Amino acid sequence: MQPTILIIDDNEDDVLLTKLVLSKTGRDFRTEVALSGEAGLALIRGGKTSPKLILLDLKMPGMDGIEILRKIRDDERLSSMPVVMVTHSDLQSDEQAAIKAGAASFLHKETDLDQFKRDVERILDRWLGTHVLHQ
Amino acid sequence: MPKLTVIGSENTRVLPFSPGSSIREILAAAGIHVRTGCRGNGACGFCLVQVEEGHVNDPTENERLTLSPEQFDQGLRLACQVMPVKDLRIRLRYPVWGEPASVESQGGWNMSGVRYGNPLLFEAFVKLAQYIVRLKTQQDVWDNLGKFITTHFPADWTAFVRRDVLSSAISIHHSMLPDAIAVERILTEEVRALISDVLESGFLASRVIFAPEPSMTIFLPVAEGSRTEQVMLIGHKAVDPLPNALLNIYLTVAGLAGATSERLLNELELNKDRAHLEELVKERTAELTTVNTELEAFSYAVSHDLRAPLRSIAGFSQALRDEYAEKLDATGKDYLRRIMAGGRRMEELINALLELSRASRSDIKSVRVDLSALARNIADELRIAEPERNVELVIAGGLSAICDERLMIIALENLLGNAWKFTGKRSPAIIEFGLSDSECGPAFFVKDNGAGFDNKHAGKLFTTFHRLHTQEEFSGTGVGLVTVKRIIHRHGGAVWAEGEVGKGATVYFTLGV
Repeated sequence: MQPTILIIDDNEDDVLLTKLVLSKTGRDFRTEVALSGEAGLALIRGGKTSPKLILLDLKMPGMDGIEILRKIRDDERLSSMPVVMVTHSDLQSDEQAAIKAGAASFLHKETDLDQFKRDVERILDRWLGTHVLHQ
Repeated sequence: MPKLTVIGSENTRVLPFSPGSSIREILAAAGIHVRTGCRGNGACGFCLVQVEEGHVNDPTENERLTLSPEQFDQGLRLACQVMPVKDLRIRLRYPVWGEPASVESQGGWNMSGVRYGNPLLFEAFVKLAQYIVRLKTQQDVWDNLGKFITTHFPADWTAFVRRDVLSSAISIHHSMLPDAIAVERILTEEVRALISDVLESGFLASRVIFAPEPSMTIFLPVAEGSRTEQVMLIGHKAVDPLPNALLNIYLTVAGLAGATSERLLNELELNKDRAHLEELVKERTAELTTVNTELEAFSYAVSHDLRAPLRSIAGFSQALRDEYAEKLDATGKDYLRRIMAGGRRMEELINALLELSRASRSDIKSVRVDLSALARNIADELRIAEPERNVELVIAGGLSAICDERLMIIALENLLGNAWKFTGKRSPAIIEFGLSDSECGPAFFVKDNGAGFDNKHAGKLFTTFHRLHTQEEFSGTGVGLVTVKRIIHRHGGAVWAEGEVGKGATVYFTLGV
């Protein structure tokens, strides 16, 4: 079965760029998108999707990434789900806060798409592991 | 006439006298005042003299009560109780106020008179002087001086009077008057006028006032620095005129009172100033905290909010180039190239501003840092980035300093990066990092033989967004040297630059830590 990657991000441009880069990794997976923290949480809580990896934007209006992450970690059924915190910020404090809240990893939204692709591939290697079918 | 030979501590005088007077009276007539606390009835025992030769009357009843057999054996008698009839030689014992100094030499307390006169008094004075400098309140000063005066001198009471600076009202603010005396009652019109005179003239005055018994009262100006707002009153139930030497002592004590009042006032002012300064520091700290919070918000905005739209521009133009290049003609591709260049430049600026904000905010963690090694690492990176360039990098060995390593890396990256950049048109380029003597002592320097600059612009180099070259000549953000300055200043050091157009530039810096 195709693994699912869930992108939770309120910025449509970033969602589009992430999907573009993901598609260029040449790996086999499905992507789902939630354009707000609340929508993303509803998706996974409702059991409609069971992503192998969540790419969670840190800064969102309403519930931000840290809050969503805490709720995921507090939910027994979801607590072991790998969540990668994604952000424009390269402030160390943000990274520390994300790791402290239980993020599996931290992904910086690089402006240079080639760099971003390399970072994304590292994340996929680590968190999708053998579930990924190489083309 | 029989003669009384008086041997003093410093000289000897011969005084002719008519029988019928006491030694004390004979001495007083000659201006030699022995101490007395009882107005000559032999009760106080202060007016000791030593009879050396000649006939004297037998000890009086009062002398027997006052002096011990041993003292009689030594020839000691009370001057007020001995009425000589024939030639007599005596030696003065303390306390004696003879050969008085003039009142005009105010504060000129005759130390020899103390040393040779009354060791107890001398000791008391020394104690007073030592003690008074430690007194913390005005009340203590008045209490101690009053006690000192009434204990060691033939004085019965003291009072301090102050004239209000604004209203000129005169009031007693401290007194050691006997209970029976109504404090305000002694301030008659006449006394007030006298106090005003003393305050105006700065000279002492003496007057018998009624308190309510007649009291020989000395009015002494208490000068606090250049101001005189206080008068010290010293009252004596004995209304005899007082010897000048005693007045001199009083003046000295009044001087001490003034100096001490002044000191206490100054301390009060200082404490006020200190409290005010502390308040100011608190306010400034609060302001700074606000500014810091704003800076943090700013740097977050720079880091996050500005980057998001930038990423859209840069990311999608990259995607356009990668996926749709074949659908664009040469002009379209040129536009796209320009959009991407603009995006890159904007990212550089954002990164530079973020670095500047970090240099301003982050805590300084001082450790010993091997600057030579840092410089070598940075130089290696520069070489790797542009291996084709012919650059001679001269990095002095063994340079280290106590500083924040992370910030120092940023500073050296900027300085060596600048040198690298501005020698771009030189071959061979020579870039040097070392330590040299400067006006500010030993200073680190980064020197290059690049484009250089006109020395009259040296000051502008360290201001934000100020650039001496166009983007086409040399790329840059105009923030790098500001960041360097911020980092050096945060280490308590100084940074400056020297240059010559076409010859090169040298940036010097010290680390004050």
